Amino acid sequence: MARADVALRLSATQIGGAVIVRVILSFCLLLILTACAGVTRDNAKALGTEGVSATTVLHDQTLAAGKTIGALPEWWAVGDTLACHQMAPGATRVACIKGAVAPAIPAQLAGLQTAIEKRTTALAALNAAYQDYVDFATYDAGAAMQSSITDAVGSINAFSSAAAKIDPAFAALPAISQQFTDRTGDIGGLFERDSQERQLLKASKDLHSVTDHLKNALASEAKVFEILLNQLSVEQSNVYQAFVDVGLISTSDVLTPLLSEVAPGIKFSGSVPAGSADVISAAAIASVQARARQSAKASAQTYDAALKTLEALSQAHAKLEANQSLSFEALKAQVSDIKSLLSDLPSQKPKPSS
Amino acid sequence: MPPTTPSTPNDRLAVLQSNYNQAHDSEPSDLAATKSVQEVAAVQLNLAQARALFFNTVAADLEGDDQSIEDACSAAKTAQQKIADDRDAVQRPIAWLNDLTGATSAAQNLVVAIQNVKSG
Repeated sequence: MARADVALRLSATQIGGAVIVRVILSFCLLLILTACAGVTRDNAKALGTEGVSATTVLHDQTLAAGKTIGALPEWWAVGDTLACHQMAPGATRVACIKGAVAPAIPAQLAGLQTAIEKRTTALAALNAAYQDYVDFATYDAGAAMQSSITDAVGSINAFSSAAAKIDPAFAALPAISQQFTDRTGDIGGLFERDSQERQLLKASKDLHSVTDHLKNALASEAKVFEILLNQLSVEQSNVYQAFVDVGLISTSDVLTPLLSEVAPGIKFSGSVPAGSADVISAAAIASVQARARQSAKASAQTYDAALKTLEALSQAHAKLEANQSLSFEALKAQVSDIKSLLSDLPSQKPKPSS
Repeated sequence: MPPTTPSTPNDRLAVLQSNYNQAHDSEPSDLAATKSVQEVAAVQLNLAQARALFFNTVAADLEGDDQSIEDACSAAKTAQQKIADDRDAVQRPIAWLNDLTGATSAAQNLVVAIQNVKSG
């Protein structure tokens, strides 16, 4: 019996030891796994900083697109009203002016304006989320991170829904949902750092998802916008033509920007050479049309650059999440491109001081 | 008669765009040719409809392979040429306003023909 007891005790001790060894091994494995399933704070901070920069310039691009499209109703109201100038005074002329001052806005154009407004909101929210991501990587601002991701996800879904209304082919994309919740307060001590790195990974995946969704919705908006750009240059020339027809502007004024480019500091003589009014007018129209086309081309290029920026940002997230080394050259180049293109747009240039 | 090449979606959008741009470019002379408040309203309404038709169709799928679409496309081009000829005439024909609105109606019929083919 005594030998049997000893054997049983030994067996129990061995079993207990094995359990403890397994627990320790599991604990080590857990530590290894949790260490792998996160991103470093420095990398997260670096990506977040680039995200802030990219979304700032994308926000500017959105405002510029909004200004371009938003100008159309005013152009129509002005052009359609000035179109009454050939009518003799009387009831028909009065009716013409009355009927021209508030042109109807086509539904598709109103939809595009709404989509651009939603994109402005979405980019502001994403910009705030990237700033909070930097803060979260710096000093564990988990609650702010959760709140700003919620805002970014909500506003990107609203933009996506607005984009679907202007491009039926886009309607199938489902809304995205948030994965990140603030859990940093749940675990303390030994696990805190690992938890933080896993939380940074989750937040990155959410921002990545928002960025991809934004890119897809923007592609739809760009498609509609770029088709309209060709027409916008026609509309711009029409407004100019209306000014000339009514006699509101001097054709030489229209050619002044060109003169200042080819011969800086030189001014036109005050009088129009006799018999040359028709060729000067035709030259002025050619100048307006050429500048309108250049402006339209630059606007289209800002969309291309915006899409490439979001693609570069998406790729940076993928690398961060795969623990690969980060490089932001492509992203920085696209951001720089948008800035340069925006500075060339007439609507973005500072107004001359009086 | 040799077979005509089928129109492309871009050709069809160009027909709608051309209808609008012609109405827009000619708005001052069209308005000057009106003789009553009703005619003024008709010119302005036509421009608004031509504008809406083009802008509301820019992103639409204008694909479709059917003779009815080709006929509607051809009719829209003919209608546009008719009002263009009216404007170029020394004196506008009495029915010029009908031709003006007829061009936009024909452009609208093109969109309807495409939609009909799509819906089967």
